[in-house]
Amino acid sequence: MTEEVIKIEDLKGYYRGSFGIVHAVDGVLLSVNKGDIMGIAGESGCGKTSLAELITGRPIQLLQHEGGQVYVNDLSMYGVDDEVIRKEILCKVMGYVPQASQNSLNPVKKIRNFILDAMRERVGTKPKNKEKVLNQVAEHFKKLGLEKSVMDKYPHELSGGMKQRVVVGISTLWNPLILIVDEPTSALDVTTQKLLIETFIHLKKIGIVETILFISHDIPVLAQICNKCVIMYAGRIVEKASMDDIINNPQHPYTKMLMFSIACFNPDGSAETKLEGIPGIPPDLKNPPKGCRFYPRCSSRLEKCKENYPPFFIPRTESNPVACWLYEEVGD
Amino acid sequence: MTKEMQIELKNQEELGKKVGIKEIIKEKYHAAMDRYKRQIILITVFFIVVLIIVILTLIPPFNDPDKRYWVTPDVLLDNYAEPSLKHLLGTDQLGRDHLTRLFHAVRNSLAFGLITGLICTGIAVFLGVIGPFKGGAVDATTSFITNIALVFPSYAFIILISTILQIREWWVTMLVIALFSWPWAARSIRSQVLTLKERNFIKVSKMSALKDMRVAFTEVLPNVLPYILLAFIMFLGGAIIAEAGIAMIGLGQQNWLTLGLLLNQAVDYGWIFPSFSYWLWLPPGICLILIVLSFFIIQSSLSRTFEQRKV
Amino acid sequence: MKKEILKIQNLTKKYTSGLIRTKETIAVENASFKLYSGEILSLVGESGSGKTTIANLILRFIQPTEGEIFYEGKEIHDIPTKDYYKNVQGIFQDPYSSFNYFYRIDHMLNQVFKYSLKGITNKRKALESALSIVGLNTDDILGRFPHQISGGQLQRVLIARALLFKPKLIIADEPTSMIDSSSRADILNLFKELKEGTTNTEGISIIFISHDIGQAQYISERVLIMKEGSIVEQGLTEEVFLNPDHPYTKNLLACCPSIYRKWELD
Repeated sequence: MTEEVIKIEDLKGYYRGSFGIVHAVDGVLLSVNKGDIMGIAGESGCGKTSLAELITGRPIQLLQHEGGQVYVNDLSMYGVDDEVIRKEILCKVMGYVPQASQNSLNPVKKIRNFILDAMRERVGTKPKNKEKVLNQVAEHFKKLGLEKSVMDKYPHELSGGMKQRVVVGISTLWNPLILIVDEPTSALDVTTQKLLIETFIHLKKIGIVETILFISHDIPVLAQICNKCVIMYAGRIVEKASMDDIINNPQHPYTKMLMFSIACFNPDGSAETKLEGIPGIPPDLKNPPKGCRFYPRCSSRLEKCKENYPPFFIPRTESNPVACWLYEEVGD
Repeated sequence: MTKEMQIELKNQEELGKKVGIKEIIKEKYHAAMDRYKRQIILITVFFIVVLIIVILTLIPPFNDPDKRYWVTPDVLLDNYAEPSLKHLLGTDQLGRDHLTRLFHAVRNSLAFGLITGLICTGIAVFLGVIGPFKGGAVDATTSFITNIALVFPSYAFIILISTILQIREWWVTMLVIALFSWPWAARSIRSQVLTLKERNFIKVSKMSALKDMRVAFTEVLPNVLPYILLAFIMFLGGAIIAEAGIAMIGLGQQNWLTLGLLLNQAVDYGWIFPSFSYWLWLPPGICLILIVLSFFIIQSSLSRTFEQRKV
Repeated sequence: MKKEILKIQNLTKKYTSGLIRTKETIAVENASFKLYSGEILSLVGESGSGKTTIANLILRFIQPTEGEIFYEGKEIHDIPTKDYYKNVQGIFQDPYSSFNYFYRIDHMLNQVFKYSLKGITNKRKALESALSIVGLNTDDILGRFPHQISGGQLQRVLIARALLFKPKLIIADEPTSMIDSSSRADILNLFKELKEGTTNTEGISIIFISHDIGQAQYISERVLIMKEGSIVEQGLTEEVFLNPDHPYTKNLLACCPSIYRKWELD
């Protein structure tokens, strides 16, 4: 019996401002099961980060929830009070590590003081027994592979990978069962990337987190950690499948072309296959096309793609839907 | 207003009905936008008024501020006339129409500010741009000069130098003010240039065999234009008020009839006290405040416009 | 035997900071390598390994502390600026910062004709042919402002600009790292085509600087692995990536994420 921890129904989120209305997330349907490490992949501007912001219930300024629902543990994120979300859900049920959050550590504070601040913000009062609290935190940090001495350092004394782990550590202090991480590895070198991914796997293994939503544009990185993956294109999910299926047996034309365009290290020798880029550019989300959003760039498009956006069809197993008219015949 | 904007505004209105932090922020944002629109109107009105004043000073009967009206054998008969329909702002001790003199004073003050502002901006741009691009000793020298000039108590020095120099010529006052006002702008332009210098397009221009100075003036300078414009407007307002200050205490130039000179006469002739000839000093004072305030508003709204462009 | 086009000997670049108590930072230390005509050489390393410093040194934006760079046998600082840049051109990481946002794109292309290539009479034709090599339509590019076209297109305009010079060497400093993978592949293929040359143009030698091992493997014949300013390993791509000698290279390759294998994580 699998349990759905995050359920997203027809979620819409638009950016509104003097620039117009950007349909960043436009009808996303997704459910994440307990124990999954789900990757969200796509090119820049496809709405990955906006989706994560919307899942947290209180997105950044300008980005507005326009419809649809997000259920976290059967609790509707847009049906409850702000305070409930801030105090009860964020950090305790769901941890969120935003993009480039390693730069959000206060440069004039030692890590320990930063943590105490975060605690006070969350609990409401100053922790009575500072040493006890800090010892607990140190223990928690140890599980992430951080020494206790890290707590007495300033952010600039730490390397990029260390900072990233500190941020992940702070986000997981209350043992949230769901962790959303947004591009945690993109500013890191490959060796530190590997360490960080090992940390995530370790966190899951010892049960601090159960479910991880891992957002990245880097499919080789996702391949190392995820068991499931969704591909987003222009504010919509085009394919959801297991990570192996995405890599070895992609179905949606966009996923197929994306896999052909990735220059990836091949440990067995030089990459023989010629890479192929995808012609054209993604649509302008200020005024998205009516039909399939990949239509202008698609090599196997049909007549009806121009007018109608395809619903999810299921060419493989029950849980692997593809939003493409090509699979209309296969099953509904 | 375009259709899109209307739709957006309508949406905003609908959302505004819900009360939450976000809605409040949004309302404030729109209020700010409205204020900004009002500022544009203010700026336009200001320029129209200035234009009218300048045109008026060129046509009779306003073209001569020294003209005496009601010339009678006894010149002093019509002096210190109170405001009336004939003389909207009364007359001064020599029976000259004060409104005419005020128009000329406003025009001259603005011209003074304009020229001084141009000199200041020129110095600031030259020192701010040349340093980072020449590098080495040139950079060290220019930033040293700027830093030294920055810590000078400029107003004290303006007064001191005006006192020592016994020449009461317009260009002396102008140069003295210009020489002590440019440093902060040179500093901020320099920092802008330093960041722009690291951008790749500088490297690209160098690979097209452009010389350093040409890169500085054709590639970098256009990108600093907003800052230069803002600095210029700040200088303009600052120079007007500095001149008025020096003139009022009797250390300024004597050959241009400026607002400061009018105020100086008010002090010298005792129009504030013991006699109370309010029409002779209140209007120039108000004009001075309005002009400087206008430049401040123009500057702040322009800087907001430039910021918006960058987002 | 291929012609030697670039020779770098004992190149060192140190930065000193501080006035009285000086502190030295070594960006590049004792780097020596050669580049032959018609090949793509990749410089691979993590951040801070001095890859970009080498690019800046070769492009004469900074002066070396020690060592020499020879272009076709001549020390590069002895070659007149204009002549040097006719043969050696660069492409940089951030396409958005490579353009002056104050001007239209034409401005940067016209600069080339105005200051460097004064002899060319039919500018339009030269532009058209350069833009068509990189797969762009002249009408889509000219007259536009940089913010109106995508990063991938901007990067291709930059390549077209370099091609106007008909250079023999292009230094590409992380040209694809800020571009989406869908257009990245096209740019990588374009570099490969440039290296091969066409019937009437010679092949261009390219120094490809990247932190991405996959791209280096795809594009280059030879690789240099850099670590903290020095070159730890160099050789043919297949040899280095299949049988790395240096422990650092081994570790780097082991950490590189790939869709062809999964890490053995505990």
